[in-house]
Amino acid sequence: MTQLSIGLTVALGGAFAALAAGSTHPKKVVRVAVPRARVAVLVDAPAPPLVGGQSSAPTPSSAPVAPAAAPTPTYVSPVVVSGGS
Amino acid sequence: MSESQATDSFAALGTTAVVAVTDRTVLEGASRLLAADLAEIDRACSRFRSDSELTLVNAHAGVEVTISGLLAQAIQIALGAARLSAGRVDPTLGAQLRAAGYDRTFALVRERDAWQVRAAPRRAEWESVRLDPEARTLFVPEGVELDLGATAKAWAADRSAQRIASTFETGALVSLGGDIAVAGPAPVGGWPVRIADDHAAPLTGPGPVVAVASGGLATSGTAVRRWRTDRGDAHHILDPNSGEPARSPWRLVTVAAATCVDANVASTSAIVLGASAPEWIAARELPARLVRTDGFVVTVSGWPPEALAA
Repeated sequence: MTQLSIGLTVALGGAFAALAAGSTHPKKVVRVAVPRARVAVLVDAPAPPLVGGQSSAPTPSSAPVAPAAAPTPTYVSPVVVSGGS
Repeated sequence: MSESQATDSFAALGTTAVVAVTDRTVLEGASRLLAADLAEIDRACSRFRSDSELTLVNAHAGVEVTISGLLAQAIQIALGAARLSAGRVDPTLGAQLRAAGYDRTFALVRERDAWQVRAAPRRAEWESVRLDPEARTLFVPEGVELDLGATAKAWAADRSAQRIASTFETGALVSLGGDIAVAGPAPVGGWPVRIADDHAAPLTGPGPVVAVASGGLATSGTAVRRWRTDRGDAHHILDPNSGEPARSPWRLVTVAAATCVDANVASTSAIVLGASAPEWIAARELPARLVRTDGFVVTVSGWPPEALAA
């Protein structure tokens, strides 16, 4: 009976120690690059949430894109150049 | 530029990033936000980084994989661009770009003396790429390499301009290698933008200056991102049908649209499409300026004529 109690105490102490260590040490994030049977996890963390909602760019579709206001001529000094890159 | 406006620029995504805000007190924060956004996009979407998520995806072609929300959005945009352009802006040309010599960052490609062009791999159908954006699962057929270079910068410009405008409650312009998105209240008269062959050209110089008040403006050209090969000069806009640099009558195409992505899809499509590009763009009511290789300029859908543009 005593041996059983000691055994239980030791086992529970070990379990609590493991839990405590897990909660105070940063968890290692593993990026698994090798595919599993069907679905491989390449990145297991979702991208950070976007401020102000989703992308401002709606997904282009096969429908014609929304018409845009034409640029207007200006004599103000430019702030940027649009050109090939 | 009014006294309340301010701009900053830095190198990112293998090109130049410019941020402009209508409230100069938020410039530092806006610049930091843009840099962080672009670093995140680079880690997800770069074809040239061995540690990028896209590189991992390409290494697992033929197997369905789970991807991050950010890469899923980028691929969704790229596949949408392919649909919109009837496959002329194709995200499955990574292997063809490598065969043509664009196998590393452009700064390194440009340094190389010459490239021996390899036979372009057989073209894959972009429709064969399967993305479930909700489940974030992706299947890329074996032998296919994704390249998001055609749309990722434009999408990043849209995304960051919107985030800067909403975070700092300011008018914002973001330019990534000349792909421009604006968000929030524009300055009176709009953001003045000069059009030139090279986005890195000085602000003062030849070329029209136009004002943009909303949406996006993108320019695609064949004169800047060029390199030498054993078959002559090559450039980075491939014709998906041949897998080789597009032989286009257009040297430079600039398009305004509701978003920078839309503008970029149209300008890139125009280079690939060739002679019928003005009609294709006009049918979509997108203001555009097309410059032929001989310098002749064509404008459509209300783009200001050359004499009016400053």
